[in-house]
Amino acid sequence: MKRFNTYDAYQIRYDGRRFDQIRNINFKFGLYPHADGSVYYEQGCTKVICAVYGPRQSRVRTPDDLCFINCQFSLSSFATQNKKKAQRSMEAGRLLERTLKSVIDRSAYPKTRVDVFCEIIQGDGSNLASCINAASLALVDAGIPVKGVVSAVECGVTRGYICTDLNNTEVRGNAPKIVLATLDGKRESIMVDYKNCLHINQMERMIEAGFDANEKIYACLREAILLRTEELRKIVAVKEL
Amino acid sequence: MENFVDISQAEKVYAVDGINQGLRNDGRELMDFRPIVVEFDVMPNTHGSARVRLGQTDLIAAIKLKMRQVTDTEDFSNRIDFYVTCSAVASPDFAGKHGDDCAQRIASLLRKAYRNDFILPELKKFKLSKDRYYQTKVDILILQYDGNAVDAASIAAKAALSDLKFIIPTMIARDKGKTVPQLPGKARSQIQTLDISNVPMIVTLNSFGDNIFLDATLEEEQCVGGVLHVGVIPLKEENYMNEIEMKEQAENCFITLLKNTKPNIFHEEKFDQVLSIGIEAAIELNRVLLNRIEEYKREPKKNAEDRIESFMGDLQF
Repeated sequence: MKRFNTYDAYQIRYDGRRFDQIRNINFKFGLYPHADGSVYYEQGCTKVICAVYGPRQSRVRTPDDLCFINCQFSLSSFATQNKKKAQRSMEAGRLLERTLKSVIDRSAYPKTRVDVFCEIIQGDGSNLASCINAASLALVDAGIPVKGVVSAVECGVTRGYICTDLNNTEVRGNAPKIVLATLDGKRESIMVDYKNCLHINQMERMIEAGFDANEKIYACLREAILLRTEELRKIVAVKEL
Repeated sequence: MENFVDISQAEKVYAVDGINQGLRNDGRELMDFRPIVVEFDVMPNTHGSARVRLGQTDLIAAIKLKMRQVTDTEDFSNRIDFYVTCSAVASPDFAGKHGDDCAQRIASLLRKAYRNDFILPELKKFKLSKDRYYQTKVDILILQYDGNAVDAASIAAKAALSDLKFIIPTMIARDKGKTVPQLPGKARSQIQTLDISNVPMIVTLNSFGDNIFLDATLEEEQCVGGVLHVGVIPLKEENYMNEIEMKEQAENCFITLLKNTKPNIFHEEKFDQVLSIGIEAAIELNRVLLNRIEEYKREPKKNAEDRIESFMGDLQF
């Protein structure tokens, strides 16, 4: 079935966005009060539930006795069209862990552990990037000291154009894509993960596009955190009455 | 399931004393369930889905139909596959492979309870032709665990089956006995649903000494002596005239699952009483669920803009 190529004709993608537009972001904090921090995060149709447990007692010791970070990235079996079983991707978990290790202030709670669990209940592209965003919100909800707010976005080349915040149809195939994470919306990356073959000429522009999109996502996450702080402040004020 | 919550000896004694007097920690009686919230169609990318909150236990059930090709569909009976995952979000003890034991237990109970042809006679429709059939997979994801996941899972499975929407395509014959599906022209008008009146409901009966109670919380699960799972197919209910007819119904329903998961012996005299409690509870639970399904079907279909998503909405306990 040949689709009409809206990329060339109208300079928009199949879901109606421009090339540099990110999807709608929704969030809801505190869904699971038994976890120290929890958030339900939606980026378009990608829905992620992230729970943070910590700081807790740890039997595992790191060199330098810093806080041990454990991440699990889990895609549930009904998340995408074709997955058969729930998958716990080790690679994505490691990437998440490396990103959060550089962000969490590990010396604040020595000899403890922080567990970050992400469960993708509906995956519509940009799974890892959404998990990083959700995890940074959940860390703030848990009150774990962080150096800043991490935001991440997935960019790639589809139909010859550089697009940010890819959805499921754009992620499939062997087109080059990168996941770029930045801190506080600045133009410095703290994590880059790329897949497939990327032409050297496109790399510069992809990374620029990634930084631009990250500024937007950071603005949304910051807004989310401010709203949550206001909400909590009201609750504390009521309790003090 | 065993080492979630450490409760002290004193707390166990307190809970057991309460049960002996007919009271629970949260004020319920022995036969009371916690508030149950059932929502339908929470996962729009699946064929049928439901979300059940039983107190603080939170699970999502999603059904996917997959068309598979075999040499001969007559060779086996089409059964529903269950697959349960305990998400790490529910508890850090579920991280990695640790959650799988708990999940396997729940999945095997569900599979046993659903393993007969009486439950969904319409499942025969899923055998599309000699070489193709729809495989039904029910995936259950436990997002929060506060005891009694088995009951919640059976409610979720039944609710998701009631929400299942599918199309039976016409099969075109090709050579070598193979067939190829062809979707009907006006697909939207051909969406079918299943009749779930015979789908079983599992109730977990916990016992301590002579006392039986339903719907244990996480702490109570640590101090029970015996656990019995009863899977009951409630027969179609007619209008009850009086209590006698209700008792008759209780004697006429089918049991699809009877499993003792903790080493505990029930005395022969006690056993009938235990079983009748279980059956009565299952029938009542089933009636309430069917009412909720009716209520959901009568609600006007909200369009996409003002549909309150299950997680974003404000309903929380």
